[in-house]
Order: sequence, then structure tokens, then C-alpha cells
Amino acid sequence: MNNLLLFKVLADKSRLQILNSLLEEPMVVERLASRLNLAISTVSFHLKKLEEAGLVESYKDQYYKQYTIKKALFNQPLSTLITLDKDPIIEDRDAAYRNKVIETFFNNDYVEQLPVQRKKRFIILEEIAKAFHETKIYDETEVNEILMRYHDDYCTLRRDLVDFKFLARDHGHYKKLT
Amino acid sequence: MDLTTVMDYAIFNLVIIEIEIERTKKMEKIKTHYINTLNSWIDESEQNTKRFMNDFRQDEAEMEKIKTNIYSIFLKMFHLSLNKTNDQEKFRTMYLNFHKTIPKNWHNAKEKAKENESIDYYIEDLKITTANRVEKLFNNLWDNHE
Repeated sequence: MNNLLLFKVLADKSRLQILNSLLEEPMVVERLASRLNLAISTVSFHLKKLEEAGLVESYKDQYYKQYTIKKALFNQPLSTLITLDKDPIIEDRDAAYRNKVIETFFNNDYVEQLPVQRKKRFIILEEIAKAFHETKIYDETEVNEILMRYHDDYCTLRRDLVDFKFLARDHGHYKKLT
Repeated sequence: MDLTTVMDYAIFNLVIIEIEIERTKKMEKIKTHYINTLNSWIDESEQNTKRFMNDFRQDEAEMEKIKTNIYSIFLKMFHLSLNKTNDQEKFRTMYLNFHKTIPKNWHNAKEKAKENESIDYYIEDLKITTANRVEKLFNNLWDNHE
């Protein structure tokens, strides 16, 4: 299903009126045309578009072709419908930005100064979090020892790793979050 | 040439002139009626285009634009035929020939769209229906002014 096509098809008042009618019950072209005061050819045109977007389907009922909505699609949450495939160009740009931030703030695997900007700070913390194993439980001393290798202010680093949800803290023990 | 022959010749000429005047009047009526009607259809389609655009009915607005274009095409062909000849029958043949040649591609495209189950079928059908409406108008005017 092409989400952009779906929204383009939905952005039309007549097609929404057709869908509203079909939400009530399946209908034939002629009934939709008289109900919505549209030409039969116009309704057929809209139904074809709605069919191509996967919003309606048709079936034979004796001599008539009945149109009905595709309920499965209508039950999907909007968050699913607005999801797009990741654009490789955007992915490349993100990777380039990340590398630039790491190059700027890391000096021989050591962070002289933590970035103030949240996005850059996130990238630096994500990089530092790689030093932790996912299955291991660390006590605070172990965490501090690891963080000292990256930055003087290991307390801030430790707190940030928890705040940014790279580490989970539970009664003085830490675990890497995936 | 005796007087009777001269009179007959004059009467004959008068009749010819009257026929010509009637023909010209008929042509003027057809011309006025046809142009006025097509212009009113163009106005109506343009208003519908605006109305549909404002009502978030983009595709129907595009359909109205197609209609406007087709009315304009045949209005141009009407004027072109008028300017090409003064002979009414030649004019009629010339103009109606445009109704055969111009929609030919639309018919072919409609057939192809039907085979491919493409949405273009409805667009080509609209072009043909609109052209037929114009042709019917012309034929009605011509027949009614005979």
C-alpha cells in the first residue's frame, strides 16, 4: 500500500462522502450517485481511485456490482498509516551528521567538553553507552570507572545516560537498555 | 429582349437575393445561438471549477477544466470554418469534420484505457461526451433553422 497515494485519494470531499456512505452499508454506483447528487461517471471515477488506493473493494451481487469499504485498513491506527520507508538519502545525511559530531567532541576516545545541544549530547552518550554490555549488571563504582575513561565529570555522564534511557538504574545497580 | 423577359429576369434576381438574405439570416442566427450557448457553457464550467476547488473536490474541478477546453476547441473550429468559406454547406461539412477528426484519438485512448482498466477511461469518456454535446447543439441549431 502506498501511503502517499492513500492520503492523496482521501483529500477529496466527494470521495470522503462516498466512503461515509459505504461505512453505512455496501452500495452500487447508481445509489451512490443519486444519494450524493453526482454523475454516475463521476462516482465510477472516484470509486476506481478508492479501489486503487486499497480503500474500497467490489463484489458481484446478482446483476449488480456492490462496493464496500476495506475494513482492515480503516481499523489501522493513523501512526501506521503515516509511516514511510526510510529515505536512504536522509539516512546518509543522518550518518554524516553523527560522524561529524563524534569527530568534533571526541579526542582520542575522550570527551573534553559535553555538547549542550540535546541532539549532539544524545549522539555522544549513545557512543559512550557502547562501552556497556547488554546482559551485565553494573554497580555504581563499575559505571564510574568506565565513564571516567571518557570524561572528567562522570557523575553528569552517569545521570545523563539514565535520563537519556541508555542505562536503567535500580537501587544502585545499572543495566544497559536496548 | 422584350419587357416581359426583362421583368422575369428582375423577379428571378430578386428571388435569388431574398433566398441569399434568408440564408445569411439563418447563418447569423445559428452563429449567434451557437456562440452564445458555448460561451455560457464555458462560463458555467469555469464557475464549477472554482466551486469544486473551494469545496476540496480537485478531481471534479479538473474535469470541469477539461470540459472548458473542449468547448473552447470547438468554438475555435467553428470560427475557423466560418472564416474559411462563405458557402454554408461547405462550412457545415468542414465544421462537422472536426467532430470526426478531433475525438478520434480520444476514442482510441478510451479503448486502451478500458483494456488496461485504467482510470483514464473516465477522462477520455468525459472528453467524448462533451464533444458529443457540442455536436448535438450544432446539429439541432442547423436543423431547427432549415
